[in-house]
Amino acid sequence: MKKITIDPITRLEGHGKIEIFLNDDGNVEDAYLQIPELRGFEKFCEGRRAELMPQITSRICGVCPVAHHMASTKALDMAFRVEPTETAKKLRELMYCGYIIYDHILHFYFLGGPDFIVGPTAPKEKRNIFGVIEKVGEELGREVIKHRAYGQRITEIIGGKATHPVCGMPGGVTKAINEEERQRIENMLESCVEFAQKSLEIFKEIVLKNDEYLKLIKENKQYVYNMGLVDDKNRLNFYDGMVRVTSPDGEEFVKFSPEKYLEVIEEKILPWSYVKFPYLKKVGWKGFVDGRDSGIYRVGPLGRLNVSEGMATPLANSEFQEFYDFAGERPASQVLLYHWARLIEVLYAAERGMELVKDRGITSQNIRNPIAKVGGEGIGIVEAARGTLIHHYWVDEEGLIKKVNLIVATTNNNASINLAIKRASKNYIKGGEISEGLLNTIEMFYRAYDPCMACASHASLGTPPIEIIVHYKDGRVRRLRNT
Amino acid sequence: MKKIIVGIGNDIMGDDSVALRVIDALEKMNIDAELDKIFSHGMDVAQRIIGYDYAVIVDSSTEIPPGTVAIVDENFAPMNFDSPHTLSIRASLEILRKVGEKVPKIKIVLVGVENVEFSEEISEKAKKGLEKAVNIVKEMIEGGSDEHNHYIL
Repeated sequence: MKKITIDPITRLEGHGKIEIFLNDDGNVEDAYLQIPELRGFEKFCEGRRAELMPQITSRICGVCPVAHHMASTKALDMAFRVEPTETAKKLRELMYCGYIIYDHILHFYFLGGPDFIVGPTAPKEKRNIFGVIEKVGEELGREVIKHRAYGQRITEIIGGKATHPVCGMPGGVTKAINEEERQRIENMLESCVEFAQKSLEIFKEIVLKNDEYLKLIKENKQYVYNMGLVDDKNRLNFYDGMVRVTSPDGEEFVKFSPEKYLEVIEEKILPWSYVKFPYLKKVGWKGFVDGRDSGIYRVGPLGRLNVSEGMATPLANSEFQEFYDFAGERPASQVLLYHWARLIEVLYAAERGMELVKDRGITSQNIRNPIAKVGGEGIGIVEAARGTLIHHYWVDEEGLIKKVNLIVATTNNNASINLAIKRASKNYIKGGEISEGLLNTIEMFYRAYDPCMACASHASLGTPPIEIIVHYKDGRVRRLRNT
Repeated sequence: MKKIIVGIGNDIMGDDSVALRVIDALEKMNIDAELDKIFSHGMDVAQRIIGYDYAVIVDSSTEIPPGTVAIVDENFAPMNFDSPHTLSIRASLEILRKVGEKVPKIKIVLVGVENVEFSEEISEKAKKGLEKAVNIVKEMIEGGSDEHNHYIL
């Protein structure tokens, strides 16, 4: 029998790379994250019927299709000049809560969690979800699996499919929910509220009582602008609202409606990266530096909390206050606090979902408004699990797509991630000494953002491993991880 | 015996849709197994097959010659814990076992492909592989789970 190496998961994307350049003393001169790209997604969409976009764009990624589906559906609302019914808005947001729950749980326990729960310098074979289960116990492991599945079931009940929903359409959704479905969702969300609280307790117990982790948190700060959707009281909202940007010292820089995004965001192209670097147009691109004069901003859980004046649900709001008491500053600049912010968002999503599912109108059959007019521009913005996601379509009078522009969360975070990697590399690589644990420590700052290369590159499904390449001044190159 | 066949792929990525097309073809054959198509991977696939006795996962692969078909065990898939973002199918199955879930006996059927770019068409070689894969999967389901071990056609 011929033994074959099979990697059905990594087949499409190639590897993400962190490249670290050392000087003569073996200290870090520069560090970059490079993301491979498969070009052509926007082009592929041109000429297609606009109403197919929520299905087509959700194929960009196997990880955050719900976010693409929803941003696309909202862009169609605008392009077709139709406001969704109140019930449709609630169903969309409820489904979205399910998505945030399962996506964030996966990241905290399976992907980012091993760094904190098992430890950054633990042996590689332990630094994974098995190590997490060993540490927190199999019973909690079962709870993790169960609640991730709950998030998916909620998405499936409303969206028609667990991972790739098919419910979104201009002016509403394709299907209402009945009382039996409503009750099932309520039961699952009730359990998710408890699970989120338990997860926060675990974080505080394991992370905040560990001096080694606290040191890592406190040593790595980044003073950049923050961006995220907020409601009319400047509280975090995943589905709708205005995009708020606050400065590194917490002042409101701008608050804009989705159709104004091009007035605020510009994208820098750098020759060594396939993925662009968005920045605030009015501040300008100053390279990979932070501070008020640099247009770099962050999105995602930490960005969202930083632009919010509170959470709209009581338990999450209480956690929000505790979070900033710990940070000792507002906005919080500690990159590794992304993880804590993520867990607060799980709690908010579960609580907000409970509010929506208990709403008496949620089972109404009034789920769609008729389309008013076809043609024009449509822009939809939502908060994907990992940050602000923008879909912009130009639609002709026949309802066909003329042009597409997407700015995804990981692209929005691209400059901030690069800055975090550079800073961590400089902090921890000294005299050319590089250990496995040290590399993992640097990777922790990249993982905190929960980056999605498939989305950033508009590529496709995949699990791209990360490669770290160190360039020595004498020309030697070490490929330190290539899985 | 409770059986499921899951096709994994992306229907706008050319040959990467081949496993989804295998499921489409099997749907017309009144086959004794539940059928599903999944556009993602890892834990999504692993959780979908829980509770079954036997699962056949069909996927495309650029690691084997286009148009050929390979049948392998889950152990051939990488454990891959170094991803920044998600988990491999093998790691996902191990996690489910660890927490006491009943994981079925699994075979992975890979169809060799060549054109994985934005397109709704598939290559002639992928079409050949598709035809072979449909027959093989049907035979695996009808003939029992243990008749086929690793080989490449």
